[in-house]
This record gives sequence, structure tokens and C-alpha cells, in this order.
Amino acid sequence: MPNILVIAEMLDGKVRKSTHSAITFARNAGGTFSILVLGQGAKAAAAEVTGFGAQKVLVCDDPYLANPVAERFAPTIAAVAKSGFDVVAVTASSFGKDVAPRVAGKLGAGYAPDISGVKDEGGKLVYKRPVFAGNAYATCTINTPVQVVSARQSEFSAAEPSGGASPVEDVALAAKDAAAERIEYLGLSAAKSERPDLGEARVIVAVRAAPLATRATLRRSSRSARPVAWSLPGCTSPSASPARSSTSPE
Amino acid sequence: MKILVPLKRVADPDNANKVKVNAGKIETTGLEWKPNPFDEYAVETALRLTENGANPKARLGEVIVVTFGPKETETTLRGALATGADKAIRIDATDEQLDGDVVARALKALIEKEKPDLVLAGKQAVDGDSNQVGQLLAEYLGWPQATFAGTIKSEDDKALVVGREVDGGTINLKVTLPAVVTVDLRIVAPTSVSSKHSPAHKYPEGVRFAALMAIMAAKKKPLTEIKLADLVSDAALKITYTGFELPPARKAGIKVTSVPELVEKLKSEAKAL
Repeated sequence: MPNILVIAEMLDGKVRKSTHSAITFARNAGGTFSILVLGQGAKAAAAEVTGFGAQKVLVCDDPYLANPVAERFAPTIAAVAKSGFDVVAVTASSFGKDVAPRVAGKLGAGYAPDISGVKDEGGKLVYKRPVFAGNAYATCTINTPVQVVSARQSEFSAAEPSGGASPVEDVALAAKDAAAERIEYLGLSAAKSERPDLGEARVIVAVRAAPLATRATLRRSSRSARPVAWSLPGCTSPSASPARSSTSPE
Repeated sequence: MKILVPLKRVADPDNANKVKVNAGKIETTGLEWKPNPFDEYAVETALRLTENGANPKARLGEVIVVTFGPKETETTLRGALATGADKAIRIDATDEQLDGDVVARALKALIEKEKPDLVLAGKQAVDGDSNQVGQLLAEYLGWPQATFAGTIKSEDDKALVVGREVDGGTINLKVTLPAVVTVDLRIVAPTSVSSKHSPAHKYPEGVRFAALMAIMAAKKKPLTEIKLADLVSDAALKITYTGFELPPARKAGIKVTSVPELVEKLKSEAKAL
């Protein structure tokens, strides 16, 4: 039974909702899991993930980890992974995909990205992942004792809390990477949008008008669609606009 | 600046929907080989970074393209040489011998010989979608990385300011060379790449095409072959692919006539709300 280390991703002092997909991956893989929350303010954020059935919630709270720079995060993730974990799982967000291969490199581990499914076949984890931009699915296994994966948010739905309270434990910041000295974080220019980040939305509604709709009906439907979306119960934000439609498998 | 660009040939991505699976294997027969689009963008980025605005014929630095594969993959390398790269290296290998990790380890060994200032790679190949060679290579070399670059500004060819395209915006990083940078789609926009010696004109959107004369001249540019075993002693793969399948066919959608009906279906049938 694998012991999985789930890496939580932080944004503005909170655990990003995308992390819940990696938790679902860990639950689906069977075995046990712990969650590593690392970043500035991780101690406070850790409380957000103690109710998901993790054996432990590990915390590395350090200003060195204030910004998402892979060279700064990888040493600590790798050091924690070495303390008895078989699989390191991140969500396949841009943070996860940036840092996970670096962690794999440190651990001498194989890395399978964008996992869409996981099965335990006789003690060996078998992964499914899209290739050729989703035009085919591959089945693969990782041949190293420690494995690193990133789980697709679209395929592993956000985990719901399961109750209980996982014990919180501090972990030390690992020795710094020399490569990190040669990288300077200048800042994030956020894409300004009234709409919520799609990665954080609880529900995404894609609407496509009928192809032969006249201009008038299109206008009418887009006008009426907006107020309806506002009143949808449980939407993350009143502006969870249904206007963005996506048909691509990405 | 000396720039090394790893380049992979892939089955024509514009026809990826024609990919077939036969007996658990990917069947690419009938699909044309093309350079991986993200790698082409990396070549274009390298050419722009070494462009000499004052004298367009004399490149400021060197662009080396590298691929892994059998003899036929030299076509892909010649294509890059024709657009302006200076030198090509083919690492002789078959697909079965390679995974992202072996490629990264072989590149590391090659880079220790070639000593480039910068490795520019595509963010991922569009066949395996593995998205790891750049990051692994940076880790193995102990170099900093900047993945998913949408903009690059060179500061005296000693450091790069890279705009990384991430969820929810752009992260700007300053990377001191040598470093590994992987590029995303927007790097080939007209003003995405600049240096002090950039030409005054804007670039057209996309990658440059080779002129006929350049295609002929490319045949004379140096192309060397290296055996994979000369670069990596441990040939063990870290990932094993055991099978491929096509995605399940899409179910036909239904049409709704009003928004209340849509909301009702989302609640009762899709259970999304």
C-alpha cells in the first residue's frame, strides 16, 4: 500500500483549491497519505487541510518560500519525500508541473505528468495519462522506488473533507539549492478578470448557443444567461460567468 | 550567446486526431513527421536572441540544435539549420531507448562538453506531452529554470528576464545564465523576445521559414552524430508504457430551449449544481 505525500499549493496565504485534486488522487490510489503545506504562512493555512483524512499535515512555514520558485521548493519537498514516502503527488497546475520534475530529479525518481487515472494492480500503481493532446490515453508504470506524479484537476474532482483532525507537524526547510541563488522573483502580474480563476471555481458551466441562432436570439440568451448564473446556488462567485465555453480535452 | 536547443520530431500535430491505436500501440503510419511546434518556437527564440540588428548576416553567438533519433531525424535538424541554426547534433537512439529522464541525462552530458550559456527548449513535446525534460535537465545541471516562457528579455546576454505564463497571470523572473528556459506559444509573438542587439523591426507572428538558398546552404552546415551510450552509461528507463487506447467516444449532447431548462438539467441530470 503506497504512502503518498501530497504537496499543497498556496496562494495569498491560503491553500489553493487545486490541491484538493491531488488529495483525491491520493485517496483513489489507496494506501495512506500525508499533506505537505509549504510556503509563507503555511502554519495558518495548514488548518484548511486537516479534515481530509491525512495521516499528518506537515508544515514548512518560511519566508524563503513566499513566492513559487521551483528551485526554492524542490529541496524541502524532496527531503520530506525521503522520510518514508512512495509517491509524491502534486496537482498538474503550472506550479505543480514546474516543481515536480525538479523534485523527481533530486530523488532519482520517475515522473509521470497529467495523470488522469490510477489503479493499484497487485501492489504496483498503474497510471493512465492523456497523450497526443488527449487524442489517446497511455497506460504507464514508474520503475523507481519513489515515484512523482502530477494529477489532472479535470479528472480528479476536488476532495471533500472527511472529518477528523490530522495532526500537524513542523518540518525544517532543507538546505538551499545553489541554483536558487541565480533566480530572482520579480513579481506576478495577475490577469485582471472579473471572472473567478477557472482552476478555483466549484462549478464551471459552458454554454454554447445553437449554431443557427439568429443574432437576436444570441443577444437574448446571453442577456438572460448572466442573471441566471448569478443566482445559481453554491457558485463560488456571483460573476461565475457561463460565457466561457470549452470543448477541448485540455 | 551560445544557445543549445533540443528538438524532437513528432507525428503531425495538426492531424493528431488521426492517431490510431493498434494492439495497444500508437499507430502513426500515414502521419507526416514534423518538428515539435514548441521546439520550433525554441529555435525561433534562439535565433532572435542571437540576432545582430547592426549586421543581420553575422549572428551574435551560436545556435546548436540537438535531436534524439534514427538517421531520418536528420531531416528535422537540417530544417532548423536552414532557418539559421549553426550546427546540429544527432544522438543516435530509438524511441524505445528513450524517456524524459534518459533524454535529460544525455543532454546534461552533452552540455558539459558544449558549454552553452542557455538551453532553450519547448515546454513539452506534443506527442508524449511529458513536460519534464527542461526541468529535469536544469536540476541535473544545478542550473536555474524558467518554464512556460511567454516573453524573454536579455540583459547584456548575462541574465534573462523571463515572463512565465502560469495559472492566473504571468510570473516575472530574472535568471542568471547559464540556465534552462522552456518556451510556450506566445514566445513567437512579434515583440516577445528582445535584447540590446535586436533589430529595429518587429518580427512577424510565428516562426521564420527557410529560403531556398538557405535550405541548400544548410546541407553544408556541420551535423555530427553521437551514440546515446557515449552520453549515458545507465540506460534504464524510469517510465514504462504498457499500452495505449483511444479516448471514449463523446456522447451526443442535448439541446435545451431555455435557460431555466438548462439549470434544471444541470441540477437533476448533470448534478453539477
